[in-house]
Amino acid sequence: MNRFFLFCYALALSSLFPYFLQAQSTVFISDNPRNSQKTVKIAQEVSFPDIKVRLGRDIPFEDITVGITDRRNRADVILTDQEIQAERSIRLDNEAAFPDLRILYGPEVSFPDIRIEFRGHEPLRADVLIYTENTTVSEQELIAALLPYIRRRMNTD
Amino acid sequence: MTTNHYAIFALFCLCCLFGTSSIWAQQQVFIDARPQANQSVVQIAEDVNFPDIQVQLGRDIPFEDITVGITPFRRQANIIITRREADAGSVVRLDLCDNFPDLRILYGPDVRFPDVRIEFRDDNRPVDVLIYTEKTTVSEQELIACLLPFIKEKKAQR
Repeated sequence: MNRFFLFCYALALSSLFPYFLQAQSTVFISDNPRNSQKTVKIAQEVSFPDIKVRLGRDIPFEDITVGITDRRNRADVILTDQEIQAERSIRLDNEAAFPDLRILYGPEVSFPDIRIEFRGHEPLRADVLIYTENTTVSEQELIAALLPYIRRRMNTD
Repeated sequence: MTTNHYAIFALFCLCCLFGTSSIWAQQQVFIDARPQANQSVVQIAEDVNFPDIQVQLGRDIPFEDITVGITPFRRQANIIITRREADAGSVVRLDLCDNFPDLRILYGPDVRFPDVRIEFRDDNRPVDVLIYTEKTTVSEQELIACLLPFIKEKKAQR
């Protein structure tokens, strides 16, 4: 009987394991990556933005909550420092004259498409946890890392 | 006055002393990423031509000059990045468009012959400088901008 329970337990764990693996995505963000086809501009001053993001600490009616973690295994998104390890490469270039995507962000953006609440380091609860292999995460990198979540959220609205 | 009174008075003095020193230790910095024309600006980037200062910044830096970390607690911080210029003790204006900066700083984890080595720690080890931000996250440029007085001093010593 005990063996049967052990077998069920192992089966349950093995069925959950792929979900844990799938939950982490690895992103490389640079102003000059090799593999990225599209250029993204993320700034606090953008003419004719495609997406407007309100980003701050206390955002009412937030769409996404995000935090930074020091533990790699807890993270949903890993910002890697080596492009070869990344699933996605993003070219973040704020000097580009004709970027493919323009994102305006700030704590007081009016009529935002997406509201992102930053919950600090090691928050108790957040929709997305980010880990970086570099030192710190800039606001532009944070928004670039959340691009799939932003797109998904905008498609559902 | 009894011995107890003296002890309480001495304790009070010590508290005042440490209280004021901890207040003095906090600096508020405003980092302006959108400077106006005719303002002195600093360029901090990973790709700079003819840099004035070279900074090695990373997680595991041997022979580091300074260790730095980020704290979520305002009272713990040595440097506070403020959102309002009026509150700030010092202002750093960043040139993000490669115009004609007054100071060029090259940084990265693999900078050769660095003037200053900065180690970033986020694993609860003690650090020399703790930074708190009133915004959301601290970028690497903002981190270096906060440490500018130290970096300039170190450069002058060399």
